[in-house]
Amino acid sequence: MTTAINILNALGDIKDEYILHAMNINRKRVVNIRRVLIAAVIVVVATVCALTVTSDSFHDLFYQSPTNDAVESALNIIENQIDKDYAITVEVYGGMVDEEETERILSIESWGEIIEERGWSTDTFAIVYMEYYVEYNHDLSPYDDGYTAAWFWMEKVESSGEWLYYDSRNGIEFRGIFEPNGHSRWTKDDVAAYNAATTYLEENFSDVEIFGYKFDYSKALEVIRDYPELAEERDWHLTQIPSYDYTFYVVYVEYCADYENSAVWLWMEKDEDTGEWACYKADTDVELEYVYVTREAQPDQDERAQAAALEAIEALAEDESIESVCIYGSKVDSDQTRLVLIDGSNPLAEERGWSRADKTFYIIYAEYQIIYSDGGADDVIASLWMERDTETNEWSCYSMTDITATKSRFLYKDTD
Amino acid sequence: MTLEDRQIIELYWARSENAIGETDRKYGGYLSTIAYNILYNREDASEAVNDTYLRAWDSMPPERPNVLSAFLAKITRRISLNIRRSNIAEKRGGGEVDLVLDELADSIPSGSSVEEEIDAKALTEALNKFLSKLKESDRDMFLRRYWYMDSIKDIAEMFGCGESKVKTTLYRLRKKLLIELGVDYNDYRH
Repeated sequence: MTTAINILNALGDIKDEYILHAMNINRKRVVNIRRVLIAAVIVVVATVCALTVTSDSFHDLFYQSPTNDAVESALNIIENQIDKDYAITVEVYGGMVDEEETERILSIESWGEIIEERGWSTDTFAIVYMEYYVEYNHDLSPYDDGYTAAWFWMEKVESSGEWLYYDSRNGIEFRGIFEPNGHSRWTKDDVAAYNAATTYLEENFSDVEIFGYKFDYSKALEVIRDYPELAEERDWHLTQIPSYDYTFYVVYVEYCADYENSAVWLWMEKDEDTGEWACYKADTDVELEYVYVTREAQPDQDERAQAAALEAIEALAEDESIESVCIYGSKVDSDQTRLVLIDGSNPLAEERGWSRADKTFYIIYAEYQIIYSDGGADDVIASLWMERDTETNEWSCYSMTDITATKSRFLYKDTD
Repeated sequence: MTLEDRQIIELYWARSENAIGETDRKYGGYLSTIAYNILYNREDASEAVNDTYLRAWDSMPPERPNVLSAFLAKITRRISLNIRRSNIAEKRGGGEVDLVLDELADSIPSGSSVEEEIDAKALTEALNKFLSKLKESDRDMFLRRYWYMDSIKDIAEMFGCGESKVKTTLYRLRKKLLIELGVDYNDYRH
């Protein structure tokens, strides 16, 4: 006889995808906040790099409206921001399946396992390249406006034929920002521009040490937009739609010369006849964005900050109403940390003397579950602002914001 | 930092004891919630989760699950239901599962064709077919109730709607399920 218990048992073996999708419902309460964060991540980070994603599909980062077309599905992810309070303008210029990049990813040996696991082929996996422009309401969003280029990893759901964004926060990997030698996505042109930039710096400064650099795509677009006559005269263009074509690029470089840290935007120009790159202009009126000079001196501070953050979370269990705290995971939230530390963006950072160079501040992103004494439980997504006391070298939690509930707890430190 | 699923699976395959620790670190809370919803007893839930790890240890190798979280969740759910059966034998009940069973039982009319024996595998296939036809939000709500066994109140909170809407939706879905299983619901209502 088929009974309720039979149905309940048979449900135990249904398709994984249904179980996983329903599992993510728990997170929908915070999806609005997350959408803001993700939108910002796209703007801040994806302008200069391929947004690549690994691992499981534990969380649905993007608000999706999948269709049977990969480009349209990616387009929907961007355009779903349009109706949000925090978005003023979302204008998509265009998008296409980046076949070259798709094939490159599928051919990477170290990705073999996951490619096999997901059953990816050029029929079921596509990297979609999108170019768009966004402006945000800065009362609601702390993130920058700007021209944006992003690569979306899309995979086809066999059963429905729909293309979904393949995501995983803990596997997000941003390539090529500061690691010239490890950046496998570089094209020959990119490398040539980097070499030309390095040569320029070494010729113009003595004893120069380059800390890091990035291809500043949005800055390059800005230059072309702001200097249309010059761009036309010099025939500068950079487009990936419909095909890769660069004759101009801006490279942002941080370096130390004569014991002083500096940053520069190098306007790199390509001679289309010879294929050679040269520095057209060095725009030195640049404030430092990232400084890695103290990396050697303070090598473990990010790990220490993270360990202190975990201790702060565990300390929540000292509350009588809480039985225990189960930490799912944590990571240094580099993007959010950087946003707080951008000069002038956050008065508190200035007041507290937080500095990226001195490694006195990190934001740690954490997910955990609070199990209450009365048997209840809450899943929490939190952002912990960690600061280092430069005298004692100890890390403490300046504030802990429960993103899930949009409330803050202040720990250890008097916020006054 | 938590490891990626495939790294955890590698630990199992390498017979590293860290496999269980890493699994617990990443999925302990998730599995505990599933077990607790069924057993409504923290000690039993903890036992179910620990048994899950042992079962995972015994299964990998040879298994290499595609989706580790679902693989573990299924084990936890199955073990929890088994523990619950033992508890019922010992007159220890409780949890949402009783209510869930009542709801499903109320939906199955006596003398209906659903009462006929259906092979477990065929039943799962029928359920998959039923679920595939639902719109996402309905499917999620159905699973939150009958897979995760969340309370109506929690489901209402998750979906940002009232409890009555949840109840109505679930009622409608159970009706659809019975049709999928071969019963015209209205036939026995009259």
